[in-house]
Amino acid sequence: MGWLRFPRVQARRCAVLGALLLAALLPGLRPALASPAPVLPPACPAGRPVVFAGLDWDSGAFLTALERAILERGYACQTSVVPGTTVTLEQAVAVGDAQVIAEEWVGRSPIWNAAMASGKVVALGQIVTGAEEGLYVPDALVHGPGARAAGLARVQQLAEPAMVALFRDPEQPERGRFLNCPSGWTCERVNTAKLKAYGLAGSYVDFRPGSGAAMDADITAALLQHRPALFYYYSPSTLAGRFKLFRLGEPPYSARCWADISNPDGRHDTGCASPPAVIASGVNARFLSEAPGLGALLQRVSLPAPVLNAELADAAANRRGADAQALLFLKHHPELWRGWVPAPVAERLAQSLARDGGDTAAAGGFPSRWVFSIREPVNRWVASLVAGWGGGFRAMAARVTALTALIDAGLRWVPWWLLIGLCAGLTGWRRRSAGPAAVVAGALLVIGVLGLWDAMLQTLTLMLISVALAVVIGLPCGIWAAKSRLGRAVTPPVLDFLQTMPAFVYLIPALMLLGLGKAPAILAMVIYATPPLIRLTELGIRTSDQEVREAATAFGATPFQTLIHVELPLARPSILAGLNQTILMALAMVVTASMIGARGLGEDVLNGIQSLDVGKGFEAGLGIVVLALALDRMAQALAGERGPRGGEGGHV
Amino acid sequence: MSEIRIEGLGKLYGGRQGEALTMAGAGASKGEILARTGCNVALCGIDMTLADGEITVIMGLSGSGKSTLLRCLIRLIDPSFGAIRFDGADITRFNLSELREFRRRTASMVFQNFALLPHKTVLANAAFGLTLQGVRRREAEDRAAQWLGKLGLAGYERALPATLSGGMRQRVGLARALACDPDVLLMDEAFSALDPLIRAELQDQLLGLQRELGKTIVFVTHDIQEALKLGSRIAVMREGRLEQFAAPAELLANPATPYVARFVGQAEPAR
Ligand SMILES: Nc1ncnc2c1ncn2[C@@H]1O[C@H](COP(=O)(O)OP(=O)(O)O)[C@@H](O)[C@H]1O
Ligand SMILES: [Mg+2]
Repeated sequence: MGWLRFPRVQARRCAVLGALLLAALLPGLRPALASPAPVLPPACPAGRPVVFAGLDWDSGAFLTALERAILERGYACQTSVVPGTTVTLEQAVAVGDAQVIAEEWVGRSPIWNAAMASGKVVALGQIVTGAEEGLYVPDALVHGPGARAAGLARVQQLAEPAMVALFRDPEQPERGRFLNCPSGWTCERVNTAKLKAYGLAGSYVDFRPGSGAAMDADITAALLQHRPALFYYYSPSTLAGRFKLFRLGEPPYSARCWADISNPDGRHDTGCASPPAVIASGVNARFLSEAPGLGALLQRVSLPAPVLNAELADAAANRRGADAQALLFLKHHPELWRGWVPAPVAERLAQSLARDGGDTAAAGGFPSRWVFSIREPVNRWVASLVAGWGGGFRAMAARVTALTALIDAGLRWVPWWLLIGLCAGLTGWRRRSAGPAAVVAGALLVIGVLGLWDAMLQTLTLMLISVALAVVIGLPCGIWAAKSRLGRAVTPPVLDFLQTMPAFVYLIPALMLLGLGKAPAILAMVIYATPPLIRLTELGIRTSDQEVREAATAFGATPFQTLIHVELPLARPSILAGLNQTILMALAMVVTASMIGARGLGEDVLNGIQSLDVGKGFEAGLGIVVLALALDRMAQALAGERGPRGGEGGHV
Repeated sequence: MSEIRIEGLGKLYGGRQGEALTMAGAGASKGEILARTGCNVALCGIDMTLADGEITVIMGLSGSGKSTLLRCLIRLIDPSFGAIRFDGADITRFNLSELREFRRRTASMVFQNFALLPHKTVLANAAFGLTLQGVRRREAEDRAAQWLGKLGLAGYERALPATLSGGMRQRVGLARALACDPDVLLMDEAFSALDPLIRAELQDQLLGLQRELGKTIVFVTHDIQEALKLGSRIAVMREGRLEQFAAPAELLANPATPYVARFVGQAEPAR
């Protein structure tokens, strides 16, 4: 999820590694190595560690690892990576915080174009040849026996009703779904413009997955389940190596058409294919002038897309990291890289690879024969679940989605002033006081004034469903935890697990089962928001007055009567505190939810962050805070006791 | 017509209980048994018959087992051995639903710290026992309101317990118990948390009610003055055993043990 993270320099052990390598190669120290012909090892052309942009999509990560390995092993350079979103990384290379971006799609990003125009950065060579991008469908959908869209070859055909129905959007079943890039990616705007230019904007939902991981997971699930799917994609990529994809034909590229399509304010009336991709290594200009030797290398590194795709698919199939896969590639394909570097460098690189004994566990490390991995069983289990049970899960998700659509439509149907009036009025009536009502009304007004009303309604829908589910699940679980010995033993570790396990770990499989959108988002919010309610319900019941509970028993109350008449009312303050936490937790999850395709305020935050629009992110973030305020006041008013009449605590 | 016969009643907590019983049979003290076996003898070999329609006071120092004995009578604590016969029926053998029925109809309890429901009004609190029995709300509230009136709480029906004084709260507790019209009233230090004046007032009120209703009342207290004032018969407990069980006059005239003598000795100046 690197493009969601804020840039943070990741110190690596490379410095140490590089120093060791250098020491090992000094002729005085290791005379045996230099025996055949005393090749003088070239010193690293860069005087200082080379900082790479930490591209985190599959091919970017592999190419970064590849270039780093060559620099470290062939040139004895030190390298490190800064993680970040594509946009922030391009910015970093422009200002010199990073020096190399391994895979730059030249001409695609406004930031990069501007930096190139002002001479701050240079694009070197063509690191990938034969790259392509566009609108894809699974190849099995158009070719072979049982192909459900056998005639489909060009984008224009997508407008046919049969096609729209084939790619039906679960959230708006009368339209099709086109899976765009996550917002903030350069391709996102272009795709939106293309959709309009091809006359598909009305019949297809322009769906943004929220994150690259979510996009890949959704497409992978569709391919594994042999479901129709229409999506933007690109080669080089793991997916293109792993599955057979079919690129829909588009009108041929022309400079004029492209200039309009790639301009956010363009007319977007005629569409065309994206220009043949030029994928280069991007380098900071000042760095290049300081280390021209490295420039010569980057100029020559080049791989055909199919080769790269095969490497990526191999890495995915064997669950290898980019670094390991890059080393493997260097070992197995010297014929491909020998030409990139001068002979002495190639020699040293080869020697380094030959010396690489695989496992380099430190002496004090954990004994490797004790290592037991649950990774493969989990992977197999998830894959079989997705392939075998996907239909059932999707049907369930469809029902949830239909419910959200219903609530959403209901909220949208109510005029804004009526909604504010209802919310504030209800709060004021329950509390018998104007203060909380004013807070609710004020908060909702602020959201409207910030221009976030529509996004707020979508978030509100998610909140209503997930908080309701959290209460329906949380209260009984809390009661069970308080009353049963088994419950008391089981609940805390399970809740700890749910609260500590990073959300994306279960979100990605959930997304593959439930499909991108509101259903997995609600799941995430419920998983995250229910534990505090369970804990505080349990605590409230457990610590309720012992003598009062005893009194109920003494008067012949059944356990259920004790619960209803005594324990729950006594635990009420604690349960309300839990409800407050549940609401806040669910709202806090809204941004994560948007990473798996749930629209609303979270999407605006994400969008703001990913496109470096800090103001937009702050605005939407503020909207979330204010919505939290309003929801909390309302929930406390509805679930709490009625306020005292006339402010005095009251008997007649 | 509610005679309570307690036969060989005992309650042990923790430790090696078999060994503890042997030691107790041999007359070992509570402290010795606890030190040797780790078993806390809360109640041991209680035999007594509580007469119908009388106030029986159970008295003793703190920790002597008074509450344990009282709670055994309504099975808030299950005795380790022995029998408790209400008109012949052994309540220690009751199953859950029999027990519930017994608690709803036959015996009601009044608690030291009132144990009222803070979120319910005085009226709803007084009607609580009836609500649990499934009596319809109107009827339950009518009956509860009658008892509240009788105890001098008319006009406070809609108040919350937190707004009442201690004495008034305990009257609500009493009304709650009486509204169920039980044969037996169990009161655990019911007046101990109250100021002396209020306490005397409530004691008089209880005596008045007793004369009027003729309920069987078991009243636990650690205060000899209160015991002498209320009790038709007084049971003096010490370390889980019954030291003496007699009418107040008998207790004063012929204390069975030096312990009882010392206890009633405190009462002399006040009389
Ligand atoms: N749940 C319990 N576990 C262990 N010991 C207990 C428990 N409840 C009461 N006891 C012990 O039983 C004895 C009698 O207690 P109790 O009947 O409450 O005394 P009293 O009411 O006369 O002050 C005390 O020694 C007390 O420590
Ligand atoms: Mg006691």
